[in-house]
Formats: sequence, C-alpha cells, structure tokens
Amino acid sequence: MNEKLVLREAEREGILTKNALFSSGVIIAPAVAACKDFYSGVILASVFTVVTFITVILCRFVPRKIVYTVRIILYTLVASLVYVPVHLFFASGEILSEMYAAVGIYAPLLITNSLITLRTESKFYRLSLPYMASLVSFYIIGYDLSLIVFGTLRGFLTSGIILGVKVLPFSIPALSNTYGGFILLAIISAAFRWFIEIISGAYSSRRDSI
Amino acid sequence: MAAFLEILLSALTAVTLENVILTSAIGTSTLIECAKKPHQLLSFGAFITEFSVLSSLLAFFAEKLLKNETARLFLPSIYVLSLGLVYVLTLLVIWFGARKYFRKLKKYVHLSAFNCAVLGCLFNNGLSGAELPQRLLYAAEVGIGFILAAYILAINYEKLSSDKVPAAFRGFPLSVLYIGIISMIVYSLKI
Repeated sequence: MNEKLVLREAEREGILTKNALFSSGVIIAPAVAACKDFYSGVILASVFTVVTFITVILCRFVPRKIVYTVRIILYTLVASLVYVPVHLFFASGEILSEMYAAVGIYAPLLITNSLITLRTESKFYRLSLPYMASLVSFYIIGYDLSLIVFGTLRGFLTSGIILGVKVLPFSIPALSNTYGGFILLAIISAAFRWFIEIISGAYSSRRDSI
Repeated sequence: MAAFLEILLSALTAVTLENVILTSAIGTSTLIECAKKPHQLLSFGAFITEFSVLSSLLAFFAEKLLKNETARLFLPSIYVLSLGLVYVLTLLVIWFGARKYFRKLKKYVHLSAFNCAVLGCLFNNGLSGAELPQRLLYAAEVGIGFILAAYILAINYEKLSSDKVPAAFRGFPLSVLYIGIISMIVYSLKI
C-alpha cells in the first residue's frame, strides 16, 4: 500500500470506524457528565489531546522487559504528570479557569482513558513509530471532534440558543442531566453508525478501484 | 431482624440513589464491557470494591503528607501510585495465596485497576475532604453500586444486542440508552 493510502486508512479508523466515543463507546463519562456545551467540549478535548498524545509517545520508550503490571502503572503515572502543566495552564486564565472548573474531576479522570491503559498495549505499541503516531493522532482527533459536536448539540438542544440567538422554538433542559447525556449519546451514536454504514460501502468500492 | 432489614434497606437505597455510575456516569465503559460476561460480575465487582477501598485508605494517609498547594498539584500522581500499589499487592497475594487461580483472576485485576470508577472514587473522596470512615464507606458504595448497575445491565444485555434490534442501535447505543433510562429513574427517585 502506498503511504497516502496507509494514512487514509489510519484517518478512517481513528475518526470514523473506531471513533472512541461514537463507535467504540469508550471514555464515555466526560462526555455524558461534563460535556454540556461547546466550551466544555473544547476544554475536555484540549486536556485529552495533550495528556494522551504526549503520554502515548513518551511511554513508547518504556522497555518491554518491564512486566505488564508495572508498565501500565508507569503509563498512568506519566499521564498524571503530564496533566500537571495542563491543569496549571487552564486553572491560571480568568475565563479559562471558570470553564475548566465546570468540568470538575472529569478532566483529571482522562489520565486513565483507555487509549493509554488498553490500546497502547493491545494496538499502538505493536506498530511502527511513525504509523503509530499518525494513528494515535487520528484517534485523538476523532474523539475531540465527537466531544465538541456532542457538547455543541447538547448545549443547543438544552437551551435552544446558538451563538446567542434563540433558534429553536423549544428547549430540552433535561438533556443537561446525566441521564439526558446518556440518551443523547445513544441517539448520536446510532446515527453515526448508520452514517458509517452508508459511507463504508462507497469507500470500499472506491478503494477496490485504486 | 426488623432492625437488620432496615439497615439492609437503607444500604440498598444508598447504593441505588448514590450510585456513581447512574448518577455521574463514571465507569460506564467498564460497566458495558463487564455486562457482556454476566458470570464475571461478582469477581469483577469484588475487585473494583477492593481497589476502591484499599486505595482510598492509602490515598487518605498520602494526602495528609501533602501540606502545601504545590504538592497538592501532584494528587493525581499520588492516587495513581496508591492504585498501583494495591494493584501489585493484589497480584502478589493471589500468586502466593491461590496460585492455581492466578491465570483466571489476573484479568479481572488488570481491568479493575485503572478505570474511571476507582479513580473517580479517589478524586471524589479527595474533594469531599471527609474523614477516613466516610471515605471507606463511599468507596465500598462505589464498588457495590458498580455490581448493582452491572447486574441491571447484564440481565438485559443479550436483548439489547439481539439481531432483532436495528443494526445502528444494536449493542453500545442501546445499552447507553438503557443506562440513561435507569439513570432517569434513579434521578426521579432522588428528587
């Protein structure tokens, strides 16, 4: 396969077919409980991006001779240390700190996300470094986009307002609750799967022709 | 007997209404994974409870050592180390105490060690600033609440993943919808 096609495969896997939130259903808690609007989506996505990318790349160099148990503890420890400057950055800005405080413990909880604790060992570290880096990036982009779309849609449906303008004639305030988050996630996830099914057919036939 | 039943009922009410998964979504992905294999529920839940309680105990004393604000920045690392220590000790105890079950049990230990339910319990305990007995009680509630939520999902998981369900909703989306409805019931019972 040529390099462009390999990258396209990684992009498709990370963003679409194995999208962490909508397809695989992992790292659900921050989305359901804390991602209530566009801003909280951006804050969570930023924390997730920095913590996950740096941790996965750094921990790639942890010797495989170390037993699995200790390796996993090291990965999570590295993630918790990477989280410290991220926390300081968000907690220091006046506007940022308010939005950051609103996501509560869900930001530090991202240090045990399954891309770090499970996918590193089961997938990422079995690949070459350049391909792994691009695949991890696409997984992160996929999750970030999902969080932001989910948060924006949730905020919009909760208030009926977008960019300060009342657009919807109704609002569903219950969606801001945890149960509302679960229900909305289920609906978006089903719609996403349906969309993937449709484009998968088109993609396969196009790939066969290359 | 009446007093015992009353205590049992209060405990069940607390575990249901304060259920960390149904009220704050922490540990949902682990819960869905766990519900796929209902025969593992008790072992898995027992390890989650053990990890929550023992790491809360260690974290409580470790937090006492962190006097200034700068040191408290490293609380997530302290929690990870507490969890890591319980993780290693648990594997050692199984290795020396029940070696023939080690292969079977280690997978539950691995999955129970680093997940949001256990770490979320440590963060919530740290934020509450509660004393040790309350923290341990909360940690036990998290573990038992996890078993309860996993059981509620497991009894219907097969139907939620059935071929009769439209493909887009099958499995994960319908499980999340189901958890959402249960969560809504718990929410309405609380108010």
